[in-house]
Amino acid sequence: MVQLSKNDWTLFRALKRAKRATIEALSRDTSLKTEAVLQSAYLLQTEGLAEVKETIETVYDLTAEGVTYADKGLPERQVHDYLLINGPTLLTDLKSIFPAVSIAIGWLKRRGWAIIETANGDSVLSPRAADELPEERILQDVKVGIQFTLNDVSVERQVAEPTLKELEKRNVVRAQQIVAREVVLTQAGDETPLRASRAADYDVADLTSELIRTGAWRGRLKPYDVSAATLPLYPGKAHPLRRLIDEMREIFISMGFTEFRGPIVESEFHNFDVLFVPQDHPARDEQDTFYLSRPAALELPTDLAERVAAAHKFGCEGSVGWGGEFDLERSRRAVLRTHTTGSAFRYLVRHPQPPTMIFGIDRVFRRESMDSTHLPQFHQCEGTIHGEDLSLADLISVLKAVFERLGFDRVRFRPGYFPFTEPSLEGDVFVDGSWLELVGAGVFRPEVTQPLGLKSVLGFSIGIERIAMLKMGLADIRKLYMSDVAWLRDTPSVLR
Amino acid sequence: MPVVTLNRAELEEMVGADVHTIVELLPRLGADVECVDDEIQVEFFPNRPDLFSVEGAARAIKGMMGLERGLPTYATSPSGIEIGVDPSVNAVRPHVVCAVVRGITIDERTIKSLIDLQEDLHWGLGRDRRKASIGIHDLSRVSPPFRYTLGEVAFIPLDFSEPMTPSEILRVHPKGKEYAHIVGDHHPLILDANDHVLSFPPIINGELTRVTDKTTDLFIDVTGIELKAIQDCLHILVAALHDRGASIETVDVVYEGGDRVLHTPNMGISTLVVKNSDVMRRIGAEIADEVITTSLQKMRMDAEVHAGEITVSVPCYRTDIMHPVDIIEDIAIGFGYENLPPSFPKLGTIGSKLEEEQRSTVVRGVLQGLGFLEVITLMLASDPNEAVIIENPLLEEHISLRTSLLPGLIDTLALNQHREYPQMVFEVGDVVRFVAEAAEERRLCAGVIASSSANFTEIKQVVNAVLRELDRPFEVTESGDPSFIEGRRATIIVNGQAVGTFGEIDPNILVQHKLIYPVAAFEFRF
Repeated sequence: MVQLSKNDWTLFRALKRAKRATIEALSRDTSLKTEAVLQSAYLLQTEGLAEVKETIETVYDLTAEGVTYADKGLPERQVHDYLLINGPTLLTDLKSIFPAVSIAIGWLKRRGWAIIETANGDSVLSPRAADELPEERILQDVKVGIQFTLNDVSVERQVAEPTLKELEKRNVVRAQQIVAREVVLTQAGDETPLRASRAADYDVADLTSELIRTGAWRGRLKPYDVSAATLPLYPGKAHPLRRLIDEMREIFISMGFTEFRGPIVESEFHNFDVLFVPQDHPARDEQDTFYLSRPAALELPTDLAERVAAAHKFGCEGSVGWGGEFDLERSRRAVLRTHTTGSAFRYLVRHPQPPTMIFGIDRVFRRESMDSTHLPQFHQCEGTIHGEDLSLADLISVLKAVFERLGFDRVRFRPGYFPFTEPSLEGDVFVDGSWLELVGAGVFRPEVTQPLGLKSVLGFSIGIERIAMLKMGLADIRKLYMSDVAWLRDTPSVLR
Repeated sequence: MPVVTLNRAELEEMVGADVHTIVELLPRLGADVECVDDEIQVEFFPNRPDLFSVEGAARAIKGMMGLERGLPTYATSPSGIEIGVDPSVNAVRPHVVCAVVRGITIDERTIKSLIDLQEDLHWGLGRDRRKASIGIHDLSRVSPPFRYTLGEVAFIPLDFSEPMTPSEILRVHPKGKEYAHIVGDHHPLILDANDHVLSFPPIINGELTRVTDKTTDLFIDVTGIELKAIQDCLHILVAALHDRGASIETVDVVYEGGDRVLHTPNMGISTLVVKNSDVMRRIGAEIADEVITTSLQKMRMDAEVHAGEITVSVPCYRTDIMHPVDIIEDIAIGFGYENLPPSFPKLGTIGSKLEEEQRSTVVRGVLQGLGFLEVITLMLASDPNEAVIIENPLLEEHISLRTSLLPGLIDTLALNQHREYPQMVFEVGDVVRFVAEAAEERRLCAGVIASSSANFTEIKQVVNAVLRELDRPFEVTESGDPSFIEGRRATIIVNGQAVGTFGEIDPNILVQHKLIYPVAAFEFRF
């Protein structure tokens, strides 16, 4: 569909009404200048909407001489009028009054407006009757602005044509060839709907309040190259790790889990003893755990400490325990928590009545050197379920549901080992051709649950950074904590 | 976790299957196979030290594959050899157990495998030799009876050529220096009838009893501070040697001048009774009696099911079995975790978020809306002031927990000085302060603007916006915080309490971090 600019369209609109019209008529109709009408008419012709028909016309107007004659009359009329007023006059006298008398005398003779008699070597002119000439009528018409053209079909033409030729010979009028243009609507133009052919006009780049207020923007807004490059714009946004954490929080809440938190500065008691980790377990070495010198020790809940100590030394119902000694001083030592499992049991001790489903995503600390896959501090997602008779099958079903929601369809569970759960399991997801371990889980041992007065407890810990690296395609875990602004700006908010 | 190196040819030969079948199966034993070549690197769980040798691994794999099922038996006969325990050792390392192993063919591979197992046991059950340590000797080089006593007899330690006294060994020998802290001034020795030193546990053996490819009979000692641990070590080691074709003989460990005698090793079984209903409850599946029996046999135990009870015979090397739940796990493994039915717990709980996290989400949303990028930085810090302090830090810049988020944000700017400006970053996170003799955790938000025009007004607008969205009316007074420029720093006061600061960062700090644009910052509790 043809798109017409403002002027072209305006002309097209006028032409649709007139069907055919001269440039001048169209100029009047549209208030466009004739030049603008002409330009648009040719464009419409190019588009096949109209045809510009041209005819050559001869138009007469007065020469400089003609202007004088139109005012004062032709020379022969001037002399004749003088003779009428002054009677027969010597030629020599006339010559002094009318410089161009010789031209007039020829026409006076030819028209029979005067008689010339010779006496004493001089000529005397006497007037005769002189009717108004057609030439003189035309001259007056021209003088008042009536144009005569040779193609004119009017009645006057019959008279005018030889007369005009005569006047032209006498250099009173002069003929001009002019091209007359008429614009005719074509069939296609007739069929083209007016509204759809309207295009915007292009003379405004920036839309301003002024333009909006006045409406002057209409049809004038310049179209842009929509494929042109622009400078990047960076929104404020959440850190990718945070987005993952929030995604996981939503998953757990939707599954009926309540969010919990626990302290980062923790006693060995809550971090290890409560979980039946033997006091001489390698994980409790200075090698693997950050111990604190300030605070160096924390208070213990006396009653609970005694029950936990008994479980370590003698076991619980049906168990033999670790034997050996249990050192309460050791239990008091302050550490940076190495997992959030201890925090979960703090919650369960405060809320001992099942059913309970809790989760928490928080920081944990391990005494590890930093490299591309290790950090001394990372995030763990802890999930704990407390109920009457919970099983390994329940635990696996919950984990499957969690991983499915996280977008991991292929999951496998295999035996694992943690000092505090039995059975224990590790869960892997299949990504990019290999299995990657993401979760450690298990059913807590009776040596853990009985001293705390709990029923059956399921637990799992999911490493957040591993999932983050997977979803963001990161090879270096440090990147998560040493933020490159360019990386943050370029990493899409939508995770894999 | 211990990574055990298994010789591929040995393993294939002992199991009687090719390595690919074995590697397929290992994850079901809870092992992570790290590398398969001529040697297979396998990461076993620390509670199964009986798997830390090619013999032990082969024994378990054969069970899983059904090539051999049920309890392996370990016959012993008395060697007639005695070791007397002198009460002096009670001061440092009161217990010793021993065994004699005869008829073993030893080559380089066997020696390496033995040393590896010994080291893994030292690390795990032995708690780096403190709790238990093992000495393996060529029996033919010494004369029983033996004595375990404190002493200062000079001998040539392993890999040395000159005799040294125990004190000298602790000063000079690399192993002596490494483990001196375990014994201190007490030097336990195992001597033969001629006062030749077999070993100086837990430091080093004597060169005299070095095991070579000519050795056929071994004397093994395990000393330590806890009888159970040293027995566990001995059982695992002896079972492995037995699986290699050796015969086992007991040693009489004579305490208190003959009033108490232990015959070691005791390779007998222990018995545990597990209720059928407990198995179903904990695993969450109906498991047929014969499946239970077969599962346990695959795990190299014997089981009889009768009247809802399972009587399980456990071999001596399974040091991890403490409670019926440990048996239940083996049944679950035998049953296969992948065969458990779907069973989502029907608890009917309703999920909820922590109020504190909800508020944090609001603050993050406002700051993101203002164009700030979120960063997350480590909580470990270098500033000890009012901080929780780590006793055993790994790095100088990680000696404490952060008490402010701003240093992390300034570090972030320093890291990004070649990135496009302006830069606006924030963090919402926890800090820990040591106040009133206790660690106090706080949730803070902090943000920085680095640009050619960053200033007080700009950051004040941000603070205004966040607190307005939190519906927290606040006042501002002049601050004395040295991180900011004097006269361009303010304290935020909510309900009469100072909750944070904002202003223009002191250019001295910027220069220290090689930052060349002005930085305006805020930090407050919300």
